[in-house]
Amino acid sequence: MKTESGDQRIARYGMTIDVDKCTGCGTCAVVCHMENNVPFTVDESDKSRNMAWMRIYKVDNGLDYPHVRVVYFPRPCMQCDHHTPCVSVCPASATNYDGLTGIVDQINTRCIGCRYCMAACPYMVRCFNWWDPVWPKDMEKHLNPDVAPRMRGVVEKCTFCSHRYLKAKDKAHNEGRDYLREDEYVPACVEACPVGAMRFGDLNNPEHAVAQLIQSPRAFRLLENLHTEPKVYYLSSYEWVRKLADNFA
Amino acid sequence: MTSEHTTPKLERCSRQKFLVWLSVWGLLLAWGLYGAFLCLFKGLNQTGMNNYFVFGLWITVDLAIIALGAGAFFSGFLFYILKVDHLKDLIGAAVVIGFICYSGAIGMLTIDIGQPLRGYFSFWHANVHSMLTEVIFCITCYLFVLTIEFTPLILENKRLSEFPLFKYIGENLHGIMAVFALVGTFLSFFHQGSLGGMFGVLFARPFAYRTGVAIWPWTFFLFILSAIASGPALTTLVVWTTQKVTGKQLVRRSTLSKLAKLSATLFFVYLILKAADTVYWANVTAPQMGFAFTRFYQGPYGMELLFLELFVFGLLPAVLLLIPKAREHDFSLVIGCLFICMGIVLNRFVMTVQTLSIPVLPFEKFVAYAPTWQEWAVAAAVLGYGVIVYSLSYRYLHLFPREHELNA
Amino acid sequence: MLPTTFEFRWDAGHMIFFGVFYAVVIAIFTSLVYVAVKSIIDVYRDMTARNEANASEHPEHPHEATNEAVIAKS
Ligand code: SF4
Ligand code: SF4
Repeated sequence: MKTESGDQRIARYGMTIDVDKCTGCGTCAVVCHMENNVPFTVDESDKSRNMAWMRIYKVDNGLDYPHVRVVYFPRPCMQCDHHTPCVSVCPASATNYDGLTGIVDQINTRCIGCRYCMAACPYMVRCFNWWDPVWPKDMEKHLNPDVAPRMRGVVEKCTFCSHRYLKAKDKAHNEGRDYLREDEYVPACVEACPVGAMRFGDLNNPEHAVAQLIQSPRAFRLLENLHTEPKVYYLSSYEWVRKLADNFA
Repeated sequence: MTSEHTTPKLERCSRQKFLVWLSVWGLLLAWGLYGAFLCLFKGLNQTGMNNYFVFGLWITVDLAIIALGAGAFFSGFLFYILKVDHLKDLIGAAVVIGFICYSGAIGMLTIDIGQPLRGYFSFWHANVHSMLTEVIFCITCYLFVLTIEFTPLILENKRLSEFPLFKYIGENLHGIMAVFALVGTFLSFFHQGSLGGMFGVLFARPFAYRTGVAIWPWTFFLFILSAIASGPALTTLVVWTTQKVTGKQLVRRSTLSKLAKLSATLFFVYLILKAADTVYWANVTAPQMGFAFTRFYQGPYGMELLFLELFVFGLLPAVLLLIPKAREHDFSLVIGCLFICMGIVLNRFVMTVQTLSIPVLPFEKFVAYAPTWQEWAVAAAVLGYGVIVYSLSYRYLHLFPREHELNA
Repeated sequence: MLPTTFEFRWDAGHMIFFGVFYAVVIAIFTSLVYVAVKSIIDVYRDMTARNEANASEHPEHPHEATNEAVIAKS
């Protein structure tokens, strides 16, 4: 894709999440379920086996009242950019890194369910379909026709709503454009966040807000020590929050 | 025909006794098949695995039996290529054990993957950069090679060799067995290594990740070495057990001792390298990723595992079997070999389960894993299957060329 | 797996991996074909020899020696 100003470049779509703004309301997780036809299990209290492309972690500073402080880390797929752990291990090429957008996508009909990618991903992003996906009858009418539901025995994960990218690209093509505007391709979670804690765009494009936000000293990423180079950045003004993002020996 | 002359009539227990023996193991197999059926029919929710523990008992057993099955390729390599003659006594048994281990492992893997019918995708859409791809290619090819190595043993059966075509196929396969031994060695070398590489390359899992040379992490080499060390130990153990169960001398005692010595020597070298690897990883690799060594050992997977792996099931049997006197005693021979095998099982367990139990995200928690009966059943079924195949082979095939002479 | 599947690229990784794989497959199959052909020839040779022996009414087994060799090997 080209940029608005017309020069051809490779996009690296990324996201910023301002944890100082996030209230932990869970809207992003709910819309993600709806947008991507993420199935739910009978016992949703078992978080070790449920399906969640966007999981929200509640983390505190470990102090007692009145000094306790809480933050929420919404955690989509980090869309690792360097030697993407899941992509490099998948034996069936069922998860792939798109060189033109940087999006790490999943080819559901090709996944053999070996779960090696889950072992490789340090962010606990990937979910295995332990059961056949079932929706209550009425809910089936609300399934998103743009996203194929997955079958039992395959792994799935956040794709940065890549179907939205395809749609936006088609629309641009129809309108005779060969570039996408910043607001044209936005994942469902970003669109739905009521406090505007999330931003999305091309990290390579200096005109996009995300490209500027990641330059801020407030920006950090999860587990930078591992050098997976996530394209999801978090923002916080608090030192203790930024320190939470990594392990220190 | 001269078959009476070639394959002397071997004394075996009554058919009735044999059937009782088989049915005991058959029951175990049936239980496992039921467990497998549930997993295939209802899905992997029947297991104790979850999104944290994506590998569990099955992968542990897979890795372990593939390592222990290395006796086949290694004995084959020593016998056919390096012409170590005394291995002729038990090369047949080693091949059968290898065949059982590999076919069992592949059977289990098929149940373990979520979409067994798509298993061939890892060939068709192979990602050549994945260690698992290498493993899948190599173990499948190697099982094929093992089947070829097994075939002449079967065709030597008195009844079958009455057919001239079978007899000649057996003979001719024997004639070029060195080719298969060589191919088998090559394949084994790579998949044993890649199994270790599978974990060593997980650069986002600090417990498993290792540096290395070129595309191969150190675990690649450690797994090869530990496999060729433990394979002969299992062969020794199985042959010894066969002798006890059948009450017959099947191989010369010195052969077992030599095999145990070989195993212990290799295991000793392995332990030295493993220790060096552990020290480097604990002091350099892991801290670079933000992990203090002690953080890895928590809950049920405490430091005692490392102690057991390196000393009780490591140094102890290695040193024991390096003492010539100890090798001459059945008790110490068996304990030594058993402990070596257990050390390998423990190593594979740690690499599989402990790797996954340690949270990498700072706000995730340490988790423990318990297999369900379905998982145990399937694992037990592999044992049942193994005993049945081995018993049938022992009864109807000429596994031990010296049996007649030693029991004359 | 084949150059026609769409992930296949003619890069070093693919060429080494599949080069080795196909070399192994070819080694195994040529050996098997060799064994099959040789065995059939052996059987055929036996049959002709037996027929000739029958014809000249000397009912001996000409391949007995071969059999002994196998025994020594196994
Ligand atoms: S966060 Fe996990 S699933 Fe997402 S790209 Fe990275 S390794 Fe893959
Ligand atoms: S579970 Fe699927 S996506 Fe993950 S590594 Fe295996 S085949 Fe690839």
